[in-house]
Amino acid sequence: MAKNSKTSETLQLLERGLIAGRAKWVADLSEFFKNWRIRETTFDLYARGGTRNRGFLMSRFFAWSALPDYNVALFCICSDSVHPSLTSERLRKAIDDVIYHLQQAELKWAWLIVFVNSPVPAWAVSLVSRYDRQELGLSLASTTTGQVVVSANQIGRSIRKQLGLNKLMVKVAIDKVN
Amino acid sequence: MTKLTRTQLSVLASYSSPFVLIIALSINIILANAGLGATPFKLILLSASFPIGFGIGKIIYMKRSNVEITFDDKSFQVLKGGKVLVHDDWRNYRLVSIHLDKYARPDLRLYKTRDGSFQDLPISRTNAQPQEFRDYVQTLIETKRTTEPNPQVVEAC
Repeated sequence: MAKNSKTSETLQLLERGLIAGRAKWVADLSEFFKNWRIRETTFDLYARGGTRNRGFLMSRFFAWSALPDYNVALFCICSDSVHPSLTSERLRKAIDDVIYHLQQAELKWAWLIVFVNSPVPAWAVSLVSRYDRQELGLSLASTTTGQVVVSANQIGRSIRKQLGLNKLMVKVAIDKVN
Repeated sequence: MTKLTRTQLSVLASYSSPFVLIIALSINIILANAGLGATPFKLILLSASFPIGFGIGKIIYMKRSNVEITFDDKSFQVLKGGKVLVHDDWRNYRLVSIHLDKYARPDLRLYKTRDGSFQDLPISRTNAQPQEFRDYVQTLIETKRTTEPNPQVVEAC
């Protein structure tokens, strides 16, 4: 079952990092849900938060005075939990549902990461790398090859470095080889 | 009932340190008054202030700040210093999340309705693993919801 699959384990590792504050340079994600449903799509992980950091005295004052107060979110899907399989149609549907949620919850921007348990298909590379809508950063990551594809917008590019997805996938790929 | 708890060392230290200091000063004064201020055993005698101070601190900690979460398949309760703060059934909740508090400590948040009223479980003050415990609670909540008898179906029967 998907619970013990490689993609689920990778998702668990990503979530652990985010709980520890990995994304804090761009967003302060403060709440993490599993199996969050939006219309027809069930997201394996949904994290929400803001761009204004918490902190004690100085950091809180700095956040209050210098950082914008936007609501942001992160969505993750494991290809194992998509039945029967991840297709272009299903990925577009997931993107539409995230955009719908962006508008409903008045979010400034969101990340959508899809973990696949095979090499990233060519159609997905094409779809994701050409995606340029500013408020949604897209990424596809393969747990078998460690390949990471991100969308061509600022939010998409931040997935590699700020969320540490590149490092995580390298670690996952090395673990697989070992 | 399963119990989750952990000694919060920083809190215990803050309760204990004044007592350690007071006892060390008292021992020092007693030794000085007894004319044993220069005895080589002075350090050994002074070191007794640590176990005594931490003992008193532990008693106060257990009475005031120790957090315990006890639960089974049906219900849970949160105790702080032996007093019951929350006692409720899992079936009253529909959604669970990991919520980071203002110090970025991961606690569990139980929702009665999606984005509605909620109850926080301070699991960061226990030995629970946030992700594993969240998944366990989510399974419990989903099981309770699916096994709950539907009143309309019961009426139809």
